[in-house]
Amino acid sequence: MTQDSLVSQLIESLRCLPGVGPKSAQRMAFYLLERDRNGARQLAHTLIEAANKVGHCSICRNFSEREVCNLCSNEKRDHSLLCIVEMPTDVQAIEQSTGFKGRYFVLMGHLSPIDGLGPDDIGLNLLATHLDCGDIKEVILATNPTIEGEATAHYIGEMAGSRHIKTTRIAHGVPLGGELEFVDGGTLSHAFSGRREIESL
Amino acid sequence: MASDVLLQPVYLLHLRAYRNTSALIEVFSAEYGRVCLVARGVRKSKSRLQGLLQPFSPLLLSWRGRGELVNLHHAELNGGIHQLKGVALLSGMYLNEMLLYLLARFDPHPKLYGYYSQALVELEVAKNRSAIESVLRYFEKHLLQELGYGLILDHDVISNLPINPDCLYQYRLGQGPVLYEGSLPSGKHNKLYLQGDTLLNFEQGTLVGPKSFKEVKQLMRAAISVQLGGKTLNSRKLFKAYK
Repeated sequence: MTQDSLVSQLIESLRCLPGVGPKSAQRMAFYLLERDRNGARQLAHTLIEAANKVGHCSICRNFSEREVCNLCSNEKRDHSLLCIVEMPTDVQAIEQSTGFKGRYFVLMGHLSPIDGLGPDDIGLNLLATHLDCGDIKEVILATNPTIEGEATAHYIGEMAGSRHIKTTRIAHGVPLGGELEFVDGGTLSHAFSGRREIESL
Repeated sequence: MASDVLLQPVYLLHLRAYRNTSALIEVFSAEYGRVCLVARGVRKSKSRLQGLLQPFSPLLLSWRGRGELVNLHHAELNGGIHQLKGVALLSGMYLNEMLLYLLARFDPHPKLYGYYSQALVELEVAKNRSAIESVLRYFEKHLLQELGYGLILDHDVISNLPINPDCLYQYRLGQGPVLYEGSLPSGKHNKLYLQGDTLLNFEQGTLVGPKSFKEVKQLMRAAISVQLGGKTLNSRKLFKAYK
């Protein structure tokens, strides 16, 4: 089926989204053109605005259209706690489900020598300057529980340790409501080695 | 070649995200050498394999397919995971990077597989940096040996005389040790000069002392760079930054 060039151009452009193949791109394009022109205009406008204006926060490296993002400029947050995560989605996840009130630092990746990602590629030189300024009392390492995430956590842990800053790593373990029988061996052995004493009230 | 391989013992070397929920994994298997597999759907949030497909865990994989890239269709854990921490973890990544670059696909090295799994066990229990360093040096030696580029450590390649522990030798890459008479050149040019007893101890696996380790480290670094053909190992840079 051949289409006008603009329509096929739209379909082709929509395919840059993750998980969108030719068929879904076509469906999206036709939906926008047939049913929701306003939505389409709005989307196009926002996309252009975002693509032009959004950069990285100069403090935490998260996406932000301003020099310093909302979380970093918020004076109510505890500036002595720094939580280190791999991706902006991790910031969202922690914000939505925990009561964490400190600040974040987003690495935008993890150390992975085989992929050629070294300390400077994930902004650790910027992190070092933050650690040097002396406001930070505790670094919380919330990198993913993968081998690369673990190596990254260790590397940052050493950086903070050499500056005598307390460093903690988030716990890994059995999911809430889960059953031990179905938990994979690696998680279970981590949960076991990281067991905690029961606190009596 | 079409193949249907069942429950092959492997170690995962590297996992790379592929499409939305799949991954391309490079593994080192006992009987097939280095193999690249497509693991479909393992990055879905409910995938049971996500936690399993990690480096340093002994796995049993089954795959199917023809050609260079095969499809993973089953995976299970084969014994306990090696929990490497800190410098040992970086060292493990270094071993993986080396294997990834130096092994050809489908070129089996069953003995090297044994050395690798042994090295992981030793890295797991290594208490200090010198213990880790010794694991790395012997693994490098075995690796070169298995690739067919083993180093000659027991005799002078020109005179064919056995190594004298009290003499100084210059190691000529691609050839072997040659007796060196005269004083040690100063500064940066004194690499690849090894004491006779260092060579012999390295051969027999009884290396001791920081000086010998330093000599051997320089030797192995040079010998492995030749095999890498100009490629640099990023994990080595990471080590440097770490210190």
